Amino acid sequence: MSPRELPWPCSNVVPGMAPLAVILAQTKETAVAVTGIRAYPAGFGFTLHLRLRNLHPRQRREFWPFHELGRHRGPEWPDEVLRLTIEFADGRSVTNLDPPTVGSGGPDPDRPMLSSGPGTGGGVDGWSFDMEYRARPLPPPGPLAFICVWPGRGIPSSRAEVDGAAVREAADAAMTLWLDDPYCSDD
Amino acid sequence: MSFFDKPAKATRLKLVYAVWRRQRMEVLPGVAPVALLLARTDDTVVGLTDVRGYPNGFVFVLRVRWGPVVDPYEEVRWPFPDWGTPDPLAGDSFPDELLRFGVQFADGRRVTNMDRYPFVPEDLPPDQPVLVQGGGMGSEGGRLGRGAFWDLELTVQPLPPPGPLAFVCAWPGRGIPESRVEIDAGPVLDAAAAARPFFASGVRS
Repeated sequence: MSPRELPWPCSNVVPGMAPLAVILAQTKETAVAVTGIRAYPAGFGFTLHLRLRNLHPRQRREFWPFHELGRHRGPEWPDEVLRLTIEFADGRSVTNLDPPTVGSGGPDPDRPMLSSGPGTGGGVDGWSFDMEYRARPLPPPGPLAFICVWPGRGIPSSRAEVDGAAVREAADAAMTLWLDDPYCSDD
Repeated sequence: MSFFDKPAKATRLKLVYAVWRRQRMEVLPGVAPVALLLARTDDTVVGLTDVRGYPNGFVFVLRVRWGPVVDPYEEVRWPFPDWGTPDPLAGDSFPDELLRFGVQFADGRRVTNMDRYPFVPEDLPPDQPVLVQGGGMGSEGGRLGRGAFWDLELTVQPLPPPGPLAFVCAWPGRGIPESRVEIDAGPVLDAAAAARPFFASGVRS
């Protein structure tokens, strides 16, 4: 099995927790928040929460704010798609709209990776979406920024920061359950 | 006497589930720095992470892991009881293949995954804790020989009182005797106190 095919994070690891619960952006009708952080030896995971009120009936039809599994295939992303960026203290960054960076040689340490899923979403009197994200590698010490922009919901660039050192510390507490698991990558 | 010998005749499940859905829609939870190994053998682990506090309860993810399987053709079943099936209160036996799991508060109140029963009179005392099963994901491993794993989200309502908060599990079919891990309820209560509405206008009634 090639590194590309191995799941990450491996189920062989119970993550450490670096508590985070922050509202990234908030209007009268839209809230974007992040909770987590699940820290692994080679990266971290978090949950993106979207809450929407007063979604126009026309928008409700097939509304899907993530680029993943969306219907859009054009060169530019529509305004209804949320833009999420993860930025490290050393300037490296990745967005949810970037193409995958994993090759046959494994992750590129100079280019952070961001992958998503599973997620849940829908609503009746309000709309709710929760999407899991996974980022690699671990951030360096210093500010780890979560940045979102959502043109279709009137949200300009909005940013929240946590200390990358706290994520690294939680990663040190992650528990690898079985060594030499052939179904897990080394990272 | 085992912790699991007397399942409670519970629960106000419909009401509890409605409260939980509303809270999840309207409230950003606080997060507690909790990551636990509840039990571990050579080939099985029961862990607990992602503790999030809400005004009326707390949520966590139970992480069940099996090591690489010896027999890749072994039939693996979902290891948690389903909605009221089996029902020990109706005389159903509780198969050894199912994980027993429960939570106990400092004042002795407790709830287990053997208590759940969806269609009972709503006569439960309001302070009796209830356990609501949320979403879950997993893999049975299978022919690749990979170990099975499951992540199951569980909600406990109401919040625990200050003091020890115990998580208890037993899994006869996987060789796990009754195992108990206690934490201080403080971080859970702190997380609940940090929860806040997603919208500045507050929680809609």
